[in-house]
Amino acid sequence: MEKRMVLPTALAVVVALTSLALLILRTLVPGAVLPRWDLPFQGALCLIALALDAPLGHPAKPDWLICGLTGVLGFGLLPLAAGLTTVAQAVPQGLAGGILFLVLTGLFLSLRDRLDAGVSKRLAPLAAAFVLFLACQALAKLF
Amino acid sequence: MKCRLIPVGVTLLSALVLFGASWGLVGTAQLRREERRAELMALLLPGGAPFTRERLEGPDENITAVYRGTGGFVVETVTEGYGGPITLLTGVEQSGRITGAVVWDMEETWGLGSRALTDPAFLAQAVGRRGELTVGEELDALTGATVTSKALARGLNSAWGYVTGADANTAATEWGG
Repeated sequence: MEKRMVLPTALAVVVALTSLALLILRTLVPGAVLPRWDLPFQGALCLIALALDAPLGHPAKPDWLICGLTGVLGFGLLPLAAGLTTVAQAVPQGLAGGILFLVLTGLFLSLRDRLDAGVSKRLAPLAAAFVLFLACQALAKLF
Repeated sequence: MKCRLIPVGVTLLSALVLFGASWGLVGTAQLRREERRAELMALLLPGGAPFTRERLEGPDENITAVYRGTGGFVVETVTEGYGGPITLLTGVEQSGRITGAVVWDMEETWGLGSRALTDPAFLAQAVGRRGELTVGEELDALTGATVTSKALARGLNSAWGYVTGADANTAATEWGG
């Protein structure tokens, strides 16, 4: 597989596994507090995919079109298929997720490249993901 | 070109698998939910089983279901918290004494509002009480989760109001009250 396809594939796998885990939890542990499928949550999933891509896909540049498409489809379709969201929520969540994934990818790569030197090299993806997750949480309430 | 379709293909395949799993688990989910609800109701109103669902009456829109048991009721309420709706089950004796309450469903902020579920101390304050409860008076709010605390208080008051016939929609449970 082309290295630049690792990132969108990682996102699809991360969102799919998360949806499956939530589906199973909701079935077997009714009443459990599950995270809301909102922007910070979507952001966290994007950042997990980006952190996973760092050792696997690095230093390939992402394919922006496929990243956007996978983001829209992944965040729109997968939670809907798992029964976690409704049809009415699927379209806005898909679009928001696709845009968020593109924005976070741009910011993550920019941050990571600047941290990617010396002893911090291995921690650069994790540090960039952590900073962006905090930013997502802080900004989520603006929308 | 084919390689570019891999992520889209993985997404669509995953969607199919998830749809199948979701469809296959519908029955189990329903069954587990009913079992869990029955367990909780037996805890909330000790000795109250068996429970029968009552037809909803009254103007209180917070109340979504009422189950009558021996000597009391378990009332399900939905009130708006910080992160979304909070579903609360409250056991109330016919005398109006609250026998227990538990959060059945909620979407609150992790670590703050979600402590309504993981920290039983807040709802334990209501047990044994009669009458309307106000955050800051009868109930100490969850630290950092005042909105959640007030939502829970509204649920408790609605349940108590349903059983006793009192009007629980007073300023004490309104925002900022």
